[in-house]
Amino acid sequence: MDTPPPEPSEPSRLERDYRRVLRLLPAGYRQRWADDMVGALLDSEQSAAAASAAGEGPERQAEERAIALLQRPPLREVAGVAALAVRLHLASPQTPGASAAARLRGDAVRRVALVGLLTAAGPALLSAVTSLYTPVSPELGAAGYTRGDAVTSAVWTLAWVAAYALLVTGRYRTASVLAALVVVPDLRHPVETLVNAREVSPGTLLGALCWLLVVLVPLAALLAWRSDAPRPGRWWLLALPVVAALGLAPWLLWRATGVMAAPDAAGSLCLGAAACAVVALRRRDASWMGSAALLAAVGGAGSLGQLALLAYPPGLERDLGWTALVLLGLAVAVGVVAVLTRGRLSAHAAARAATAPDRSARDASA
Amino acid sequence: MPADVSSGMALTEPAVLVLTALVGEPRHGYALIAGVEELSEGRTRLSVGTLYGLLDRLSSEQLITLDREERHQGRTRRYYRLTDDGAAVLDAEAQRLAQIARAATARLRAARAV
Repeated sequence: MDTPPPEPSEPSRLERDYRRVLRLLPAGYRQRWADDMVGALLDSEQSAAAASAAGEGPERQAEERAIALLQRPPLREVAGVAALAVRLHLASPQTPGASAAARLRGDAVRRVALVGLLTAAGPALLSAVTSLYTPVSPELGAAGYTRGDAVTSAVWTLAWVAAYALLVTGRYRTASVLAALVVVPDLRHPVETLVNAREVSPGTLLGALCWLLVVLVPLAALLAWRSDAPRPGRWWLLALPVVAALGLAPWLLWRATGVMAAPDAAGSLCLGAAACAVVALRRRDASWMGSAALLAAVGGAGSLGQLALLAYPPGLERDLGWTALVLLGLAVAVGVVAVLTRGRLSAHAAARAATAPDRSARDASA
Repeated sequence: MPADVSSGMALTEPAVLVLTALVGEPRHGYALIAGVEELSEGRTRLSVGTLYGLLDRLSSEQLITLDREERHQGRTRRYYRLTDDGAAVLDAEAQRLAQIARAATARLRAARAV
């Protein structure tokens, strides 16, 4: 193994930039390990640089070592630190070196992914079942929509159900990849809107941005599901048919009153936020309230985007506008409850962590 | 909690390589990266973030432990060593891998003989 030459007194660009990347890590962890990690990176990069000039003499190798210190940290090293940061900030009960707050945050974010997938999978299940068992309407038939199209659409929709089932049964990586694939068609329209931002109305632009949040935040939350995360409780699987059945409520309301009040994806997140807040208050659980707050923020933003979209032209889709407004109000209410109860729930969580530092996997995932 | 030697749960390849690099002598971070690269004949080059995540896990499972700290070029450098549990887990894993290799070799020879 080569021995690197003494370091100059001023930190090199490589060291400065790498220390900047290390700021992604929690402060306590960084304080303990930053020196070690910086030393390992500098030695590693300098040795690799010297090895690239092997056979060209010691002077050339020394030159390569010096040049290595002038470079930016390689992308793979930045990615390695970013992955470690995600693991430590969104920890599981088994993550070594993570704080109790990071474990609580990790539980909250993992639940956001679960609720996000559940609110997509429930309506998807209902939609697939109804589209398979109901004939194609004459209007759609006249437009060239066939039974085969209906089956293809149902199978594609069922991919949401598969992704949710994979997540609940512990196949986290496969679930994440499948969800990322299924979400691609949903991204097309908002991305096109953003690309043509100058040609669309402000309401359409705001709507597209908010829709991206609604789609991407639960997807990003899937990153918190790593192999050391405890498997979700069984009742998450039972929640799927329940949520699918609840999807009939807007149809029943429409049949009874003529009011179309179906929540979109953002509205479903608002309802999920309210459900999480109820569980948080019943259990006095800060991680559930954290999930509620995050879902309310994303769902509320999505409902705001929906309202912005409906405002152009004004008066269009009045029922849907009222639905979005009510759900936005619900999201705001959940946010207010989360702020008001934060201190009490955090104190309860700290007391619980002090009395039972090794919570069972079941408690963490329930 | 130490890993259960008898559980038969497979370690990841980077974990096996890090434990193997620690056999016989304590090593610091860079020496482990170099050791893993050498053992894998250049196929595995651990990023520093990956290595320290792995060291956390192996430490929490009590397969490795901190041996000593030294100052090197103005920075703290920590050396790790293999624990008795770590050696036992590595030994079990090596036997498991060797058994798979033997089975694969035997089957290939039998197939060629047909």
